[in-house]
Amino acid sequence: MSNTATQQKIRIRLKAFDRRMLDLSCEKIIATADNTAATAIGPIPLPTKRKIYCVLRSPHVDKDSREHFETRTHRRIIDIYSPSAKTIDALMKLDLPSGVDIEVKL
Amino acid sequence: MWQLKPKLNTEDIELMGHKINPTGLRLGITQEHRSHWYAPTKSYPTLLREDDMIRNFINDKYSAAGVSDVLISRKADQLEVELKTARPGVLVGRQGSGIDDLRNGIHKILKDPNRQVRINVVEVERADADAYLLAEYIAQQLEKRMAFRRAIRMATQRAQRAGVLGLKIQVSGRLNGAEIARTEWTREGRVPLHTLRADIDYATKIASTTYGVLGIKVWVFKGEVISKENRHTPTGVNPRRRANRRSNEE
Repeated sequence: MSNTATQQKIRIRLKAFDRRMLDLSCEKIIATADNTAATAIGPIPLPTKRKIYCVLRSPHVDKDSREHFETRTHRRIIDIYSPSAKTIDALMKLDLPSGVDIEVKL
Repeated sequence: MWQLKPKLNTEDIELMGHKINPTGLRLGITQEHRSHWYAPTKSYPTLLREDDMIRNFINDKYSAAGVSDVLISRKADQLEVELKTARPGVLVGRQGSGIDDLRNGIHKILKDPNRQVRINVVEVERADADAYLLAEYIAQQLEKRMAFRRAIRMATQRAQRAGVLGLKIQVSGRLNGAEIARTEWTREGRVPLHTLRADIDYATKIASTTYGVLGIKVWVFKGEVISKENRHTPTGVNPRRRANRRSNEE
């Protein structure tokens, strides 16, 4: 672990509403990292953020009858150590499903 | 000890039954979201409004082409719109002029001509097994003043010819222009609303007539989803009967 700590690393943060799509994207990223001979650590799941919306069911009056909806934001982190130019290239070209938001930090 | 409930409980009058939207119930399984994108809290409302305006625009402009569904997905400022329609020829027009019109219309809505917009037109395989198209068909017939029972019967025949496992149609409002509104519904086959793995296509449509507004609801049961790969039991086969046969062999 001390080896990897001193090297350059890329931190990828993934956020999505759909857990399955997120896991698929993580697998793809890790596969590309492995193919280009860079060590990838992850996916590390962060706690899922849950936003709950409580709305009135009726268009008028009836305050006591409501319905809950929620939005779940799933989050993952992938760290890639010792990236080569090939790795970065492959990652940029990678085509990921549309429901996932990706942030890359060097 | 509490006394037994009287036959007509005054509380029962206020507590009405409620059927949840079968699409909403199945969003995690069996149903996909119609808008597939992630956005942080700040930009979510703007994007949602864009989606809504695009859908309204498409439904207004291409109602003749029988658009059954509009799927929108976004990938980092790129917008992808997939239209499911029964008549892709009418939508695309001659040499793709329809798609160009659509793209121009979307750019006008987004107020940004430089946004990348990809448009996919997909043909619906069994147009008569699609709930939205059936509902649209019934709505058009009602607006042409056809007797509602006849309209429902024609829609049912279409769906049965397309091989559907179950169908339920509900029409409510001033049926045949009557003074007193009522609700009528018919069901053919099975429509298991409580079965979560049942693939039920649900659609609502409004028919505006001179007498007022008629609401149409259509439920189409297309089969149960046992596993992810083989989606539906083949049409016309009773799943219960197949299960019995399997246990007899073993």
